[in-house]
Amino acid sequence: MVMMMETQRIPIVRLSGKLIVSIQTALSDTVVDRLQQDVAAACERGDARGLVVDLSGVDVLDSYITRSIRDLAVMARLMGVETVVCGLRPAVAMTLVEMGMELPGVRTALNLDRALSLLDSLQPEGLPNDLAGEGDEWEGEA
Amino acid sequence: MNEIAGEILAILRRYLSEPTSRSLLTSAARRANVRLEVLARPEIPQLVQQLGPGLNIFLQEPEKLQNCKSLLALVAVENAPSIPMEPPQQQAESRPDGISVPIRAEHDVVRARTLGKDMAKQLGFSEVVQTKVATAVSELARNIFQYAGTGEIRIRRIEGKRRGIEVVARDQGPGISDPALILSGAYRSKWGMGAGLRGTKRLVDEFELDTHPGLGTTVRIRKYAE
Repeated sequence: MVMMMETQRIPIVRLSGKLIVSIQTALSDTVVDRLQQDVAAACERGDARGLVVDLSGVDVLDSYITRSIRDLAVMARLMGVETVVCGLRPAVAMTLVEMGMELPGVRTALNLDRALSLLDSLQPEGLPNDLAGEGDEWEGEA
Repeated sequence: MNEIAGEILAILRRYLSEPTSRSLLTSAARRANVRLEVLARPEIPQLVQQLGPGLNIFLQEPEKLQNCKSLLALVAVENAPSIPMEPPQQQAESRPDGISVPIRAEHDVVRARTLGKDMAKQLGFSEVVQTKVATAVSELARNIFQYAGTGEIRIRRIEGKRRGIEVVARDQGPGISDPALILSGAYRSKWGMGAGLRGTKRLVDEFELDTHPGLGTTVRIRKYAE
């Protein structure tokens, strides 16, 4: 038998200056909180220029987890690591829209490939500050 | 293999490969002394019992194991065949059967969510509806865990003219002092409870909130197949 799992940990892969997080498991709050910390620690090392969060393996995103992912992206950005969330399944995207929960302030891409190209296309300096001021709009909509 | 055996196989197939599922099922049938060609519902519990050891070996993830067993248990208590077997019996009243998931730990939120999705899938709901049901269950389960500490989620199918799923989330927590305010969107809690309940309401076809400060909260939602 396998070992009993403790808190599951989502691996953060480093690939040519980028951090790639591919979530392929049902997310519990603890796992997602842990991921936030791990990503913060990885960003702090300073050698990453971008972060991709691939959600293609996630079949349900509820409000808490969505918010956590969004916080993670905004946090990484504040630390100077541009973030792209990708791979949202159509059913998940439709559910989020219906709930009135988009991902404000977060760049998104269709899949991992496009997310990586998007990061490459972003200039390391003078980023368009299109995310500014949107931070507080979460849940703002009735 | 008859239809009832087919239902059980279908559940196993969700978690295991085709050959593994079949061999587990046939060997369990042998041990339970039942024949899959003429399997009857009263025989399901003994068959499921014999499936246990095999599942323990092949399904190493505790969560999946638990979910698989819950679904199997559900088949056992059902009198009516599930979709897409035969035309449903003409009965307007829904059955009191279903799955109950106690919510005591954070992990139970994931479990309830997964079971909700599995059940919606089993009922033949579309991927989008499955996701909506699972998301709603997740919100309700999380609210229980975060605000009341413990409670229960019951998920059951609705038979009859409109097929669907009903989820009842019940706790004996602090209750909500101003539900109208929360549902209006003017209220924002630290954990986003307002967003969770409002979002849930948007995802489902019927939504009832019954809350009494100091006594607890019951949320009943329904989502229909079409």
